[in-house]
Amino acid sequence: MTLQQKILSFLVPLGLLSAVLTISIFNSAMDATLTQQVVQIARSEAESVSRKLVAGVESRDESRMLRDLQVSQKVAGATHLMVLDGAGLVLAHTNVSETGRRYADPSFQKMMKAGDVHVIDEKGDHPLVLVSAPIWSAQEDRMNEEMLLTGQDTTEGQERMGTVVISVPLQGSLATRVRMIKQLVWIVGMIGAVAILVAIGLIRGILKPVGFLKRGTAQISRGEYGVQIPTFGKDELSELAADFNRMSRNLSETTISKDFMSSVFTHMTEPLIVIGADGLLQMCNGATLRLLGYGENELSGRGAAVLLSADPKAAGEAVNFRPANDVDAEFVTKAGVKIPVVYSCSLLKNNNGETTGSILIARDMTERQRLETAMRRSEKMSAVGQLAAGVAHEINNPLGVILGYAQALVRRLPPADALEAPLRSIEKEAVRCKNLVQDLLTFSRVGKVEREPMDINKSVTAALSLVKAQAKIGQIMVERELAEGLPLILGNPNQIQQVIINLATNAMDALGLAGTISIRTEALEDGPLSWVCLKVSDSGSGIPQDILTRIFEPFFTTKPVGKGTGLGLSLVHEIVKKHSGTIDVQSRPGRTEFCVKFPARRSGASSEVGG
Amino acid sequence: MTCLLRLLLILMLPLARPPGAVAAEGGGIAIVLSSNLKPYQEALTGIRDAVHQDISPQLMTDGEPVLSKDTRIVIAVGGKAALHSYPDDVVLIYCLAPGLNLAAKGKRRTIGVETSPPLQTMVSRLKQLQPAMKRLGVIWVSESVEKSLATKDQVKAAVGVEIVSTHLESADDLPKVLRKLKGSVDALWLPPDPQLISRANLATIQSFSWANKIPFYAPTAALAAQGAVAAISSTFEEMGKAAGKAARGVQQGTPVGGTVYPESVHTTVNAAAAKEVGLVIPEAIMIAADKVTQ
Repeated sequence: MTLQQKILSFLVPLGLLSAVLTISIFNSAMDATLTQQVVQIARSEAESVSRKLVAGVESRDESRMLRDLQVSQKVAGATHLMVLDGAGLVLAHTNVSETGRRYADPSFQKMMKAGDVHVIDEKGDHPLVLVSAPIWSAQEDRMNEEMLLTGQDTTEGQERMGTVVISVPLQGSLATRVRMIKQLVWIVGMIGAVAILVAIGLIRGILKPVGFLKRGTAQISRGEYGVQIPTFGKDELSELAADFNRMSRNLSETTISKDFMSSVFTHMTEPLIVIGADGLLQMCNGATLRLLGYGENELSGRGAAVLLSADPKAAGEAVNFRPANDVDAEFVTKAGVKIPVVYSCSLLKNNNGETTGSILIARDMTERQRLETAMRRSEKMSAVGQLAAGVAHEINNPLGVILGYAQALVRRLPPADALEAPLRSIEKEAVRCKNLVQDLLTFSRVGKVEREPMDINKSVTAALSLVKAQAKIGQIMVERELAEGLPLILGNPNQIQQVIINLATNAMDALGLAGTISIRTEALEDGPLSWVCLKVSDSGSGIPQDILTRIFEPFFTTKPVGKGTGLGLSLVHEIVKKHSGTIDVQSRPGRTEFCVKFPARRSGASSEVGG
Repeated sequence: MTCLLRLLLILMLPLARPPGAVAAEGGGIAIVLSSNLKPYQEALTGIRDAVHQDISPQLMTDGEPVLSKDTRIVIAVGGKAALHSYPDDVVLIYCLAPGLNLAAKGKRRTIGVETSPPLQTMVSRLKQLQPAMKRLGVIWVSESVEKSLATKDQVKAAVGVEIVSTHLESADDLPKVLRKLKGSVDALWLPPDPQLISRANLATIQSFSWANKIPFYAPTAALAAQGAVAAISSTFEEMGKAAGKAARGVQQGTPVGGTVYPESVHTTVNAAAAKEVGLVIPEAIMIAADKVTQ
């Protein structure tokens, strides 16, 4: 039930009750007043005629009395008048047929004995008022003494000669009463209707601001802060509306600021972490969650150490609320992977200067470290390349002389000569040095070759003919899966073939005598760039994580001395880089995969796949 | 012997009278009341107080009063009692019989107790109520009233109020006289005249007074409630007391005049009537009034 209905359900019955009471009281008052008026008129006329009837009663002259009675009947509008003697005998009556009748009922006996009596006779069709007045004998002048002394009329010394009774109908007054009641009911009804309409109008007027307040509150509850409602006048409701508007404005300003701040935090690219005074995480922004792989509410309420456990010292600085700048640390992702970061920590303080927590802003250093490593490797390779070129150039000629003489001497020795073994060893080591020099020369000449549009599948096919021959020595299976319609790349076929051979050779070295080598090519779309991807994988024991970042360094090898020069993968890396490509390696026990990507040319595609 | 018995019977005859038939007398004083009316009873109280005797009264409504041989003084209360025929050898003292003047009638000594105070006293009191009053109209029918107005010249000299006395042949002349007095008097005083004062005449006078803003004053406190602005009078008990004192004076042989007045005078003010006629009664007089009706 609405407030308006409640008020009306109270007012309407109250109004109806008031109307009924008013009409009832008015009816009673009208009844009493009109009856009293009739009685008063009858009494006045009875008293008046009683004085005139003295002589007639004394002489028992009916006609004389009748004249007076008829005059009074006309004046008072009476139905009849009559004169009774002390015994109730009708001496005269306006209806002459009644003369001589004797009245003995109690009401008439009372009228004949008492001074002024009125009764209401409701026996007939129409109610009547019967009023009696005594008829006293003529008053002596002397008897005014009592009036003079007491202020009251006296009948002292007078004889009651009879009683005059006047009968006046109440019909007229009743009709008047009914008419006035009808008018009153009509007026009360109209007033009631108008009052209800006015009440509804007033209630609506009063409730209108309440309605605005209700709608405004609903809007705020829906988050529509800052909504304003109209104010009317200067009453309490208007003040309430003004207060509501003020509250709404304040709510808008503060809440929108909160949203703004939240938006800022959410869209920050750097991780931001707020730690409470109790050492628990209060807030982590989206960058933090994205970096560490947590869900939206997974970190709230957890200890800060969950992020920084890898470095207790760094975690301590944050949790123990000590300001710090550019602290190197490692965050731990949900999967347990360490991510290098640099963070700054500042303290949160309340208005009293008390520390209530700390704020950490961190930077993900993974990419930077990768770039730095790559730069170091590049510089290192550049130095190695220059050194190798110089050394190889100087060593190559003497080494050729040593190898030539050693081979010539071996050919000239007699069988089972004691010098054969040393000379064979010189020849073997000279050949190994020559190969090394050749690798160094190849390494130093990478950037100096011509490139042309080429189909990488052809290079794979050519390289595999060499690789398969070596694989047949053991039980190594070589699988290939070459994509059709690959785009051409701009490259040097010999160097690309060198890359494939080196990666396959490296894989066979990792497999030992048995295993599977898989060589696949595929086209790759990465945004606006198109790539041709060469993937070489093996089912070996995998590369340990701690050396994974070093495998492309020159002269880095895990093979026994004399088995590898440590230039194979670094040569691959250098060739790929010179071809504007990338090389990534993913390794786990049982599977190692090198992924080499070369930029594809915009037009042109290989038409066939080599087998 | 027979004569002796007859004499004895004659002597015992008074004892054989019914108790109410003979006035219970004390010191030769008999009290006769016209009726059992309350004012008469109050006067009886005053009489008993003055004569220091609890004399039982005779009521005229019980029959003819019978006086004993010892009765020397009859105190009649009310006009009917006063007009009764008493032996010539008794002194008749009457009160509460306004309009009666029995002093000049017959050989019997009569002493009347006036209902109103002396004219000068009365006019002085009226002057206090209505300080601007210069001319006071007095209308009367009973001849007896003329006597009370005999001192009007002295009153004018002493109080400064001229008494405009108008005698009516009958009460029927009242409307005509009132019309005549309009504009010539500042106020009206009704003397205690039973022939003039009736309910109808009072209504006529009140309507005239209120319509023409001419205050009218009544002779008794009871009439002040009938529309008069005020009444200057004594209480009925005081009147009875004055009658009783006159009786004692007669008994003791001290000189007592033919007319005596009650010792105290009371002022009764009808504030509503004063307001109707526009009369502003001084505050001090209102405070000093014995009774104020609204």
